[in-house]
Amino acid sequence: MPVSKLVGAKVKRREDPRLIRGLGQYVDDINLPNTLHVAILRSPHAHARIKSIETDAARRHPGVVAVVTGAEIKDQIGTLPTSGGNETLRVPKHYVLAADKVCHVGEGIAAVVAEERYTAPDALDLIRVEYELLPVVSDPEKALAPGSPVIHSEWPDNVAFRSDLKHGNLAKAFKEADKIITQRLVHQRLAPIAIEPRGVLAHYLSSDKELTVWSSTQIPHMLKSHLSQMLKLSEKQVRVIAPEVGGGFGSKLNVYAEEGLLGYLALKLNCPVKWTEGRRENIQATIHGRGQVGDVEAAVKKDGTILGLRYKVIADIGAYHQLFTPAIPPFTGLMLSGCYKIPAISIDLTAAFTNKMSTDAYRGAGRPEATYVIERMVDRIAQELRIDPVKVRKKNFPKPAEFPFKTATGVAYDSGNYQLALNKALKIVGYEKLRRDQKRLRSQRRYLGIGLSTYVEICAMGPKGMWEYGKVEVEPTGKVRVLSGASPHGQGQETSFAQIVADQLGVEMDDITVIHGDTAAVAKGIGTFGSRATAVGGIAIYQAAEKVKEKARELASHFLEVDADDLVFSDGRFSVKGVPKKGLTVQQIAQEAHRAKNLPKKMEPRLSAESTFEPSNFTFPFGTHICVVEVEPQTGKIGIKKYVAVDDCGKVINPLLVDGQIQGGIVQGLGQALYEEVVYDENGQLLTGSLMNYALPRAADLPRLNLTRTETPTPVNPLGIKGIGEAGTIGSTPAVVNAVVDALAPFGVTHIDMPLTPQKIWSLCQETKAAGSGGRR
Amino acid sequence: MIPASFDYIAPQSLEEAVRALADHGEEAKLLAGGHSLLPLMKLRLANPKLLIDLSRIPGLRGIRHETIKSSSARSPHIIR
Repeated sequence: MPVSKLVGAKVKRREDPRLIRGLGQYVDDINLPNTLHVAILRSPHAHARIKSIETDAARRHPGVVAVVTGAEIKDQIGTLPTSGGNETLRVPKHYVLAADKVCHVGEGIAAVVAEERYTAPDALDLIRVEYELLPVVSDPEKALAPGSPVIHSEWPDNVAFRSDLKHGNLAKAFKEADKIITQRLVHQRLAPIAIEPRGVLAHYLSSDKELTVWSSTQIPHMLKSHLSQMLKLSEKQVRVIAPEVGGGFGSKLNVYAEEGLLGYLALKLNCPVKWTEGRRENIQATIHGRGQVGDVEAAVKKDGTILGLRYKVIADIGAYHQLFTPAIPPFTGLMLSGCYKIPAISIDLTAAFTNKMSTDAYRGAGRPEATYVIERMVDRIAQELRIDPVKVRKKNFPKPAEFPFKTATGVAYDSGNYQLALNKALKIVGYEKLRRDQKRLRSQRRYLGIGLSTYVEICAMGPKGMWEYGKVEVEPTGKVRVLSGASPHGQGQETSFAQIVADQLGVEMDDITVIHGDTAAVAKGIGTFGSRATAVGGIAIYQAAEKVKEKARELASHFLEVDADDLVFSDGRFSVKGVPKKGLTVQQIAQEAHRAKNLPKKMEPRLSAESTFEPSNFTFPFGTHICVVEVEPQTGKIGIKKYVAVDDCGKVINPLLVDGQIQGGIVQGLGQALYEEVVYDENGQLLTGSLMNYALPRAADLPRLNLTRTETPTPVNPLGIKGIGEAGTIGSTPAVVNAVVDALAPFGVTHIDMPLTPQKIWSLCQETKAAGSGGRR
Repeated sequence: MIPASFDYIAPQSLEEAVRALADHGEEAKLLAGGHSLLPLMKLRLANPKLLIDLSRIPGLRGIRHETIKSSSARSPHIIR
């Protein structure tokens, strides 16, 4: 890399002026003439046979253009796709509207298309559905128990898939252990709650036989391929546009029923059709995250050395597989080693169908679960062995010289220095003093807790097929167009990609436009998820910019009639060594390349290049989060006193963007630890169906975050960047829970399942008091 | 997030509002700030037939501090 000016600089997000002023154009802001509005009738029951649907009254309602039911259209639209999984995977048919049976609350049954967006929901109220209620199972453990109602009658039970992976000599590990520590852990279901719910606008242009679908998606190119298959069109006939997208967190890394349905309706009615998800629909019918319950066993030596780990887990799949549902729980198994040398690890995974919405990728996608398992266990080990949790961690860390570090689970961590990040965090938080304070305050019956989480995660998806595409074009005017197959939806790559290109070509950032999210504009792509947009997509852009620079060098050499080796590149200009006045700027070269009157032989006109990048390995960002809490046993209230995060995502392109990702990530992880849970009752009714009863963290709940970094570049890509989209979420949850458990250690508390509500804390403290230990140790 | 259709009146006096409320009973809801009611209506969890908007009633504007002399405290309380 040349000496950089912009890469590494705190460049303000170029996206923000339009977003802050409300000028962003989201799907719902796009208005085409004669658009019809779609509303979807959703099942109020978790499991029921549809005996009959009476739609006549809705069809007659003034302003209603069409009503369709699942049974009517099931043969006309392909079922929803799913990827991943092994040979045990069972894939039930997942129609865009349920045909004869509903399997979860919120599953679509019928759709009304009306001239006005107020009319469509009015007409929904006129549809009469007769249901035959079926037995419901909403708990994943009960779903696997003998005698459970079976959701999909094609199979004898509710097993969605299974895997049982054993790495290393577990028998030996558990035989040689001084102690075996066990813990049951629940990773509750979460709703991703992107600030913009989903939305779809579809328009079929019959003259061109082209279907354009605007969707609030993270994966326009993937969606295009899937939609063309579902609607039996050629890929050429489908264009997907992801306009401004108001967050996704994995929930828009999917192909949803409504996308297929709206495409179908646009084709059938030959009119633009629009559907905008309401928040209640968003919680019912957009994927959930997490949803695992497992038993962990750790085999340890007296000194804290971890010899082996067993995790027997049930993953709550919901009623159907969405796009990557089967791919998520295996990530937990892959990352169970955390940032420790554990010679033997097993994961026995059973995925269960339940009468609930599907789970799928939500910020972290399998890694928060792995991190929670190992980080909770390390603290359990420390507590059982009465060793400081810092010591247990340091004892089991691989040394910096051991990288690439191969885990028992078979992944090779690219680079790392876990000691450095931990030591830095300890110093910032003032660990030794905090421990002294803790002791002192306990004698005053005040309960301070210090929670650590030393995490490592896997991102920049990835090798084996997850490439990304980039193109850099210098226009004859000197303006630069950057095209990316990544589809950022809030992360800020319009800024960071421009920084990369500006440095490479020596042009002003203001002269660079980053284009993404339109399959007609960008030839190909995969999308934004798994913290890959910069670490994979950004590298494709970097490589394309390098190619452009090389072409410019060849052209400069031709125009200036000097050898290419005799040219110096600086500030966007090639000049002849020793004759600085003789030179050409990239803009001048671009103009000549466009005019193409005097090009070297076989050289194509215009100054542009494209590239794809597929990394040779994943990247493994890591860090240490330390959370300090004070818990009030009398009220169950948890106050966060300090929060220190030292994160390492390799080289940083824009510290502001990285801090933003970390902040948002920590808040979402803290949400899981303290507040959030998607609750269904035993009848499969969703009890947390709106933001009045699904508790998100709010600004007033948040501590001041002390964020800093270490920088360990990855060897996996030429910029040394690892990705940072999910690390905050992955690192923070166990830090918070560990802190609260640490605070309540005098009460004999060894574990509390999330979310750590005041009610739970208060009850625990009351129980201990009743048992006579009285808050002393 | 689209409410069902409803009728709307904005009485000019307290008497008028009370009368409307008496006439329509359970089917009417009073609209003050709307912070609770309107979200419920948008979620279609509340579907009143009539909204009685209190914002035009002069006696219900602003907050006034008064020393309470008797047990009948007064608190005009529409704030926009």
